Amino acid sequence: MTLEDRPSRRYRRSWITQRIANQFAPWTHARSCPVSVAQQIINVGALEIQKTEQQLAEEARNMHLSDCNPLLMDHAYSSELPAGFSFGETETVDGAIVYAPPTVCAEINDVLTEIAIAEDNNIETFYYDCLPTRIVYGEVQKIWDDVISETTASEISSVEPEELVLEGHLYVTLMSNTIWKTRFKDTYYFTKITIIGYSRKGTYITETLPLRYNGTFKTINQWSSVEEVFVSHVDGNAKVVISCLPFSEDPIVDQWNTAVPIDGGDRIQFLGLEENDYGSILVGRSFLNADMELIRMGLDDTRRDYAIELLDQDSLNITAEAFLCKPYSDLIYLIDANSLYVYDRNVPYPELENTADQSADVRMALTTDDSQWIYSRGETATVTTRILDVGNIPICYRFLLYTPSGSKYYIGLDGSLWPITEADGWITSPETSWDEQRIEISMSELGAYTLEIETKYKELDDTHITRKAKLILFVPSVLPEAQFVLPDELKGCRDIKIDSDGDLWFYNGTSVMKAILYHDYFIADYAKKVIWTREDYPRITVEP
Amino acid sequence: MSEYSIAGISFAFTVTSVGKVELVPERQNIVNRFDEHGDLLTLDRLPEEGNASFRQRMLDVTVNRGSPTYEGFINNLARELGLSKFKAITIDLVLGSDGEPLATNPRVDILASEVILYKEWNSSEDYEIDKTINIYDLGTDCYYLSDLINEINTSEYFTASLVSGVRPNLLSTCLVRGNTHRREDQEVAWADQQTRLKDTEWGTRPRTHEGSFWFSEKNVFVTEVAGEPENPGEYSIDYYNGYLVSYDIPSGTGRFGYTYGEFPYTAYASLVQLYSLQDENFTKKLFAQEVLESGEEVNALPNAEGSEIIHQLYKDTKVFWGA
Repeated sequence: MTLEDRPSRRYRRSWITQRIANQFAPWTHARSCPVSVAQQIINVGALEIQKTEQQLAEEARNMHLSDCNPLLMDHAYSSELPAGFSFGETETVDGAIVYAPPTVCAEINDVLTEIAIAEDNNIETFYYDCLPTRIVYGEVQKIWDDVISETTASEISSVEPEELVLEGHLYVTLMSNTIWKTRFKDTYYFTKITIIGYSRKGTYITETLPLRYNGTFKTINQWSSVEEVFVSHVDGNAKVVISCLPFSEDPIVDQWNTAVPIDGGDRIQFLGLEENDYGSILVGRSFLNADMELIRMGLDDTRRDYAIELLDQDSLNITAEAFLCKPYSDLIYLIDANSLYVYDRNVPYPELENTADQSADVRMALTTDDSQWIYSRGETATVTTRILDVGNIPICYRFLLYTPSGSKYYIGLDGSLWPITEADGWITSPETSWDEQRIEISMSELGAYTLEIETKYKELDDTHITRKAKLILFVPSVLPEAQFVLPDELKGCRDIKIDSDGDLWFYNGTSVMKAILYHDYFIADYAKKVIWTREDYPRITVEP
Repeated sequence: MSEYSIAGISFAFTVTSVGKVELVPERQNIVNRFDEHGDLLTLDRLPEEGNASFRQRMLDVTVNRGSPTYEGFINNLARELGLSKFKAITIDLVLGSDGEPLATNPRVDILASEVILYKEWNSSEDYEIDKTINIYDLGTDCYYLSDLINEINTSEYFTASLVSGVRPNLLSTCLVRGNTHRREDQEVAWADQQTRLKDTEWGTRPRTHEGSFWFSEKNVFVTEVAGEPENPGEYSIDYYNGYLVSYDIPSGTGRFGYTYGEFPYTAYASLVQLYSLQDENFTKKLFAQEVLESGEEVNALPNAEGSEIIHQLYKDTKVFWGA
């Protein structure tokens, strides 16, 4: 897969765009339409800000030893080329003569296999942004047991915690809790859980986690054993699970992105898997309330922000079992019964070419309920006209729909599609007053639908003018960046997670099995004549 | 030129061009934020050490502290070499049919060359040793940990077991030196009440040493009695369940101290071991032992091992005999 082919390398929308656009007044098109021209301009800079913000966030965590990213590049393998070795040369499109990447083969399983040069031959793509190239079973299997399996809060003190299957952070999942604050005399007490035991560094510690909503929370400390657990100020019927890997976490917190709705207020973004009529979809959700104080008081309902249909390399739907967010990355690792997929988790950018001939001074706009513009395949969008100039009622109007597959239709008010060749689609307006029109668009294809309303006006000099307003309705889908057939030992698993040391584990319902992802890439130091590889090979061959 | 070739440098030092070359990659550490954390703790990353292991060693700095003591040296040296100490053997007491230990004042000392099991320990001369086990010499039965455990298990008063995951053929001299003797200086006795001893668990076997108790208010704690104290100045101690009962304490509280044995005792082992030439238990392995007329045993000339070690030390310090 070349650089241009990787789906994540295509242009995408940043969540910062809406945060900046929310500085506009609520009634502006720039704010309410995520694909408005204003937001298209903002998005260019927002992508850069997002990258900087993510780097700052990572660096802030790296300040603390126990939270420092264990996946930071810590080693590489160097091979010094002999003095007589010369790299080949090649001519760029600009006519410059540059070094040609050598052909490097590495011994993998006793076979010399050609490995690729990292994109742009730089360290970032060599180590951090690159995709895995192989997955193998790590030959480690452990019988799985939660530290405390699902138990009601009232009984948790009497449960003997199990031994930790994997040392590291613990994940506390709280379900069905309804009490978030208890008042005693003049003091309020908030819901919390206390864990007592030995930390991974061998100290006897106590950690108390404040519980803000029904969900999964990670401990600050890393643990080697748990001796006692108790909860405070919790509904006795609430359920608690404590485990070394967050298999109970659903949906998963997206720590790399934030949900920013049009009405303002940044919210925690959750990602989850759901099914539609075609296959699995990746669903982004966020709290209805932006105020975490309200959320802690139990108003923790979420809403669906978007859904992305997941496809395999042949553009066929998949039935996914589980996924995880790769730490410090936009990538997710996802499994079905037989394969591992690597996806970019961002909403792809819609195709906007059909919006090119939109009129500059439209007198009629199109909107959807709640300004929704992302839909899942099979859903129906209800589009409403919005007259912007009540003094000018069009004498007639027509709706034109561009489908993702390239077809064009006029649409009747009842939603019927009229082929362009058979009708002109004009609908006569009432002469005295304008009633906003609603039509329903059912979306059965993946991609961007462009709905156009063309309105015809009679001017004072009896001439006729037309105006076009457009609306994008998007049914996103994503192709995998990489896809691998799983080793037999890892097939049919129901979940995957990464532990505190950065190791990948597959869960089959009874045990966890370690998997190792390999990244077979090299970078070439042309000046010092050194080939750097990421994986440990017994030998490599290099040819100019 | 063969398919695989290496750079050939001719006699005239001209470099011949090469085609396909075969190379063996060499692992290199790449400095990252973990190394910066390491700099703050003066702990370097070991060659080929990954982030997770390096982080674990850095966290260990604040737990197993380095210091100029014997254990501090072990902690620091072991950590810097990536060989952290670990739990090796557990030594416990044999209980009688009444649930009480057979040894009255038990104690275990792990020394440089011996493990001493005391049946009846006392700070004065009248202690009673159950076993003295030589762990230093290659020819002895207890050179390896599994043999040491077997030997302890032949004792009437002590049992031992290997901590799971520890290699049975680890050298016994890897055991970190220590003993089961513990001292509690400042406990508070309450008037006319039972006072539970801090370091004992209710209903467990005794760990306190008989005769080791001392009291700040000697006029109140005058006579130890076996049963319930009934007169002023009387007190009783339940050495087995771990509590003290006094008849009365005028001021409301009184302070007392005692020594006790920590059982079950878990001994650590370290692949880094430290020997001191001030350690009598060690030096007697380096010198021939001569018995003086007074009966006292003293070090005479160095034996073969002693000579080798002394020469090695002089070599490294660049000081020579007679210098």
